Order: sequence, then structure tokens, then C-alpha cells
Amino acid sequence: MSFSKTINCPQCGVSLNNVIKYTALMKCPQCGSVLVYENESFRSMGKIATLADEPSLLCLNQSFSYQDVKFTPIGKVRYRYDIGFWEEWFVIDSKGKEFWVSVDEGDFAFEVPFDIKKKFPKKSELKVSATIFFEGISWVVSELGEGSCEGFEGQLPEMIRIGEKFDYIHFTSLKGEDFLSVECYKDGTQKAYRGYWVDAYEIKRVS
Amino acid sequence: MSNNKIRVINCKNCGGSMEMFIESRKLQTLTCSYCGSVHDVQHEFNILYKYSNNLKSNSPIKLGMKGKIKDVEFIVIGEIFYSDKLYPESKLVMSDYLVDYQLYSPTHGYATLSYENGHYIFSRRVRDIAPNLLNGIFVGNVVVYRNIAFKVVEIYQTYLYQVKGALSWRAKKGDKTAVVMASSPPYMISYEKSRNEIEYYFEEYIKPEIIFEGFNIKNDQEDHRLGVHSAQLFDSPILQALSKVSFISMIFSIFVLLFLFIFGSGKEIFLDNWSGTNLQNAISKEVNVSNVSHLLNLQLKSSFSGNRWSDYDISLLQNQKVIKNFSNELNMARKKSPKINIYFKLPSMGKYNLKIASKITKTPYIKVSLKQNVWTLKYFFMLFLISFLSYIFYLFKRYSFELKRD
Repeated sequence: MSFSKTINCPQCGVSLNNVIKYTALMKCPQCGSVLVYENESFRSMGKIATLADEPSLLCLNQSFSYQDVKFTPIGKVRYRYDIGFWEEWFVIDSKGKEFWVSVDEGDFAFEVPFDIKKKFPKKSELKVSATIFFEGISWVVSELGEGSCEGFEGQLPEMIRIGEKFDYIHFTSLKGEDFLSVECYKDGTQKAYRGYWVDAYEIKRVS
Repeated sequence: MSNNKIRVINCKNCGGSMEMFIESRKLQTLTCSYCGSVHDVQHEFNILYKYSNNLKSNSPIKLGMKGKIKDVEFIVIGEIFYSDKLYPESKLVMSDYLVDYQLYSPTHGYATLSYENGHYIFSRRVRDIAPNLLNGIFVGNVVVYRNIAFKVVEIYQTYLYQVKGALSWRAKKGDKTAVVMASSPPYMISYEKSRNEIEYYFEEYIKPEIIFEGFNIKNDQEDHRLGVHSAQLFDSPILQALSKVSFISMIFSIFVLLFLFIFGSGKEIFLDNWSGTNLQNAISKEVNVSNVSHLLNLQLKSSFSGNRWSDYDISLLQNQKVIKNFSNELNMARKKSPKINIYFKLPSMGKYNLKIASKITKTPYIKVSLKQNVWTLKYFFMLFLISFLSYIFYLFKRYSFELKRD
């Protein structure tokens, strides 16, 4: 990839190829060290457990296509919630554009970070099926829950909070075309991702 | 997400062994196939309620079977029996209920294979749909989803009668679900509203033989399909191919017929008429034939309905030699036909003599014309007729199929 570079793991010294320019956090596949990008270099932050292997349509570094566009997953984060877990895959397309793909037992959504300027209502103030008007769009609350990050693999463009619980709220636009996911942490931090649902049956692995 | 390992649990009611074909955290209940007790997977397999265990499906799909649908590997983990009739269970017959097989794929999650009167529908939950798309809608309304126009074909309620195996939701006997179904064969979208949630499903009709092949079931099954499902495509490759060919050939023959009608009627090289003439002494008229690459057309017209063409003797001569005698054609012409057309070819261009004679002493009015460079319409007319009838036959079969649609 033209937008990638090679670095050496500061912990074990192994050569790490295809480290992309967006990477803020990565895990050394050799020694399992968490590497954080700071002051134009990577610093080791210790080790975390490897995520248990789970079957998935997406695999790290194995490209897939959706609607004739090729994407390559380069990182994934696993979140746990009351009835299981879901994964957020960090993928880049052939032009280097970055996306997140949310995967939860057959439900796939493409998302990009979304800058929310005003404070979102709390989870306790919302109900499933309620409609709110936000950013010029009417949104229907489609899911409410509590999740926590279990760990990650590969490279990520942002820092994550492993083990910290957060409330999540999923919205679907009234027309069904857009999807908005908001994560609210206990310290008041809000992260939002906006995207669209995709049909898992249209995602094909590229050999 | 789940693992794909079979776990055996003993029923807390009868002690019978229950197989859990997958380990999914979303699994809610597991039902004993011996006594019908429903166990809460999330809470130490406590018994939630009990079903009778008498409903059966005549589909060869069974719990635990693995197979491929749309190139995705699935395992059958549960069965749910529904009916739109609220009867006592003992009065339900097989054609009264439909069976939903709950499928699980480690990569694509949960899906459903519905079986009703021999028809199979594969469905999966979709989220890229307007939440109110099918809410408050009526039969006959049209909605658009994924650029496909779906027509609302059915609005009904189903009642849950029985479950088997494992389910990702808590199915309770008598649970009522309002269903709105919109179809655009082979696809359907359905909207299901139960007590707790609203869900949309994208569905596709799949032919039984494809299901059997995907699940490695020997395809010596009888076709149990009753009627025509609302998502079933008209499936007769021979008739569909015939309809395409006949439609193209019908259009082609219409154009050819129009072309020939306008440009293929030929150039007149001789025209004369007689009335009350004694033709016992033959009349000879010179004609100059300058084109023999196409047909010539001798046209005889009479205003007299009692005319007998066999009484005439018409021939074309060149240098006193008969080149073409029309006696056969004249003898075969219908007795009272006012008009006959004879198409023929000549071996060479040149001057000919058209000789006309008759046994009749006083001939009624007859008009004789000769045209060259004539294209006959009859072959293309026959092609048009055959194409038209073939196409009508296809439309009839298609109409009969549509009449049987649910």
C-alpha cells in the first residue's frame, strides 16, 4: 500500500510492514505488545491478551469487496454486551479511504466517525422506537444497551478504552438509509459514527 | 457470534438429551424433542413452559442438518410452527401451518427458511429499511426497497403453535404476530410486529431442488408444492425461451410483412380486361419480362361470382413454345373465387406472349394483370401466425399460473 510504511516493534524489534499513516494504536503480531503512536514514533504500552478466534466473514489483512469496491480490514475491536459481542473492523479501501465496519451476527454497517457538536440525550431518556430530530434528520431509536471493549487486533486509527463500560444508542433514519451509533462514556465523552447498513450477502472475500 | 460445537444437555423435565448445535450467546431457548419442555438457555436451563409435540413437517429439512443457501453455510438449529388459524392444535392439518427453520451461520448470523405447502422461502433480517415502510399500509399498495417495487399482497396475523430445537428468541405458544407481506417475485419483504419488536425481513423464493442440493438431500422427493406462492417465479424455461423467440419473430415478421407490403408488391408489366368477349379463339398479348430474379404474379379477377376458372386456358409462350401453362393452378382454384393469384418464376428475361383462351363463348368480366419483381407475403404471414399463436400460448400458461398465485 502506497500509504503505508515499515517500522520495527519497539518491544521485540520485529519488522512490521504495512503500517498505515492513520495508525494511532496497533498490536505487534509477534510479541502482542500494544504500540501507541506518539511524537512521530511508536511506544510500547505493555501486552494485552489475544482475542479468541471467532468465525467471521471478515479477516484481518484479507481483502473483501462490497459493490465492486475492494476493502482491506487492518484492525478490529471487540465489544461485549449483554447477549454476546460485536466487532468493529477498521478497513481501508483501495484509495486509502478509511471506514469502520460494524459486525454483529450477520448485521453489517459501514460507518465513519461523526462529529457531534451538541450533547446527546442520555440512554435513560430514550426508548426504542422513539423519534428524535438531530442534524436535520429524524432518527428512530433502534437499539439501546451497554457495552465494553474487550480488546483489539491489528492497527487502529484512534485510541480505545479497553474494559471501560459505555452506553450505546443506535439510530436509524426515518427513511432507513442512514445509521447513527453513539457511545456515551461515564466521564461524559461521546463518540458517534454515522453510516449505513449493508447486506452481508453482498460482501465477498477477495482471494 | 458463536462457536459451532454440539453440546448435549439433559432435559430438566424428562431427562431426555437435547442437542445444542451451536454456542451462541444470543440463544434464548432450547426445547426438548421428547417432552416439549422449553428451557431458558440464559438462566441455567430452567423450564419456561411446555409445548405438546405433535406437529410435524413433511419437509426433509431436519434439526442439526448443515447445508448451503446462497453460498453460505448454515446449520438448522430450530423449528417454529405457525398458523394464521386459531384452532386447537389437534385440529390443525399440515396445510394449515407453516414451519420456520431457524438457521445459523457463523459468518452471516441468523436466517430463516420457511416451509409452507412445499414452498421454501429464505429470509434474513434487514436493517437498511425505513422503519415505517410497511406500517399502516394496505393490500395493493406499492413500496420501493433496494430499487425494487414491492406490492403488498397480504396482511395477516400468525399464531405460534410449537417450537423445536434452539431459538434466538423466546417463542411462547399463542404468541401473535402481525405480518405485512409485499412481493416482487422472487423477492419479498415482510414486516413483523410482535409484542416487543418490529422487524423487517428480506425474503427470496428458492426452488425446492436448490434447497435439497444445498442440504445434500437426495432429490427423489415428490414435489409437494400446492398452489403458487406469492414470491414464486413463473418457472418454465422452455416456455420462457419460446415466448422470447416467438416475440422476436412476431416483431420481425410484422416488419418484413410491412416492408413487403410497401415495397414487394411488384411492377405491373401487363394489364387488360375483357367482358362479354368470345375467348374461344385465343387472345395473345405480348409482355416484356425484364426481371426474373424474383417472382412474377399473375392476378386474375372477376366480378362474376359464378365464374369457373377451370374453363380458362392461360399460358406464357416464348417463340411459340409454351414456357408456363397455368392450367393446374386454374383447375385448383376455387370455383367461385372472384380472384386468384398465381406466383411463378420464369427461366429468362425477354419477350413472352400471354395466351388467354376460354371454353365460354361470352366471358363475364375478367381482369388479368401480370407483375414482375414480386415478393410473396405468405411465408412471413405464416411465420407471424405461428409466432403469434406461440406467444398467446405462453401468455395463457402464464395467466393460468398467475391465477393460482396465493
